[in-house]
Amino acid sequence: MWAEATKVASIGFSVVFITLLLLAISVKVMSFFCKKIQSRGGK
Amino acid sequence: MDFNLFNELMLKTGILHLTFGHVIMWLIGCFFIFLAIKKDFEPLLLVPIGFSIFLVNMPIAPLTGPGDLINLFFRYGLETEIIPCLIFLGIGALTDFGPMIANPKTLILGASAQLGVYVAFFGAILFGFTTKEAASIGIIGGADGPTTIYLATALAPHMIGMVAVAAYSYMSMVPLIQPPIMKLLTTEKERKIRMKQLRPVSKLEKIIYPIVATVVICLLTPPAAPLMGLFMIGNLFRECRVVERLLKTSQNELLNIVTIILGIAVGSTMKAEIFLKPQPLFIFFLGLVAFSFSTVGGLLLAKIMNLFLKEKINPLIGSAGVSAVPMAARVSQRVGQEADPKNHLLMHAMGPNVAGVIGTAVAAGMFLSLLK
Repeated sequence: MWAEATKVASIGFSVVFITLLLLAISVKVMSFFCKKIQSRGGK
Repeated sequence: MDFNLFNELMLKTGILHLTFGHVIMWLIGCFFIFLAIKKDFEPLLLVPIGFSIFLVNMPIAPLTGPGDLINLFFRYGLETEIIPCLIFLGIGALTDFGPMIANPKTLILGASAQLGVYVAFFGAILFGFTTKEAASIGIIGGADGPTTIYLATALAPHMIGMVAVAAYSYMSMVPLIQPPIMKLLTTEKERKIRMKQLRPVSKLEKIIYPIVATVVICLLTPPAAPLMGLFMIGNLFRECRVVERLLKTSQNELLNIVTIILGIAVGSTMKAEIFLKPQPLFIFFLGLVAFSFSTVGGLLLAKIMNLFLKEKINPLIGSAGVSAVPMAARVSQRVGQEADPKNHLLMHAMGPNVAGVIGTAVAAGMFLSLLK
């Protein structure tokens, strides 16, 4: 049971971190392109 | 003859079926109603939950048997997982992701504040719960009621009432639980750190965000898709500004209707024969452990991030990663202002706060994919 629990917790916590890290990077990229599009629209 | 008729009549009333356990549950129901009315602890939920506890502990009343009214609420609302997802739709329609888009590193704080989920998960196993039950208890640390109910429904349906009540009770006690931990783990100097004002976020970014977030989250954690999908639809309603009617319905009528059904259905699981055992005490204790460690996780990661960042962040915003929107962010603001009355942390704390909602849903999704 402890082996299964350790596996579940370690995989789970890692995926939470990875998902939110990738989301943070995606938001950065999204903001970069949005600014590009808007500055082009402004010209 | 008359005596037999009287006996028969008495047997058809609830009086002869009333037990001491029922009366204790009535008192517990009344206590919840008292907390909601007198102390303003999550009244929107504790009033229906409290009354439902009262109601389902009326002996032989046809309420929770197969096909009975409250049983139908439970079967079609909770067991099908419709209600937690619809609540997420409403929350999405009320959430402003602007502070998080302006400062995406705060998303990481929302992840570290899930520490308590896993600490309580191990704690529950130590107390003798199964892994599925332990996951349902651990998720209380995410401080997110609908996600807790969503996970408990799938993994440990017999415990929905206990974990839901523990989650909502602790959510309402955020202003009592978090400040001592926040003060213990930060120095006066750290609490005084002022953060640069957040940049304005464009309408385009706010519209694209729910689409980007859905792609990232649903690809990495498919079991979180029902919760996150509806969360992001609700948010798109809010940001696109062309579906005013749908937005208002999601924010008000729909959210209110599902909250009523949720409260009644959750309360209905708290029958004397299920609730009056040592188990709920362990669950409440582990819920407190989960909440405290989640606060610690957010604070510590903010401190670690400060070792590498040029522009320091106030570690107090880390504790807002426990979800409980917006109460946890308000607590960060309040504790920050105790150290420096001119320091405004509320908007900065909203970033980790909404990130915590996503983090908890992802944690629940991972439990589902690994344990279901």
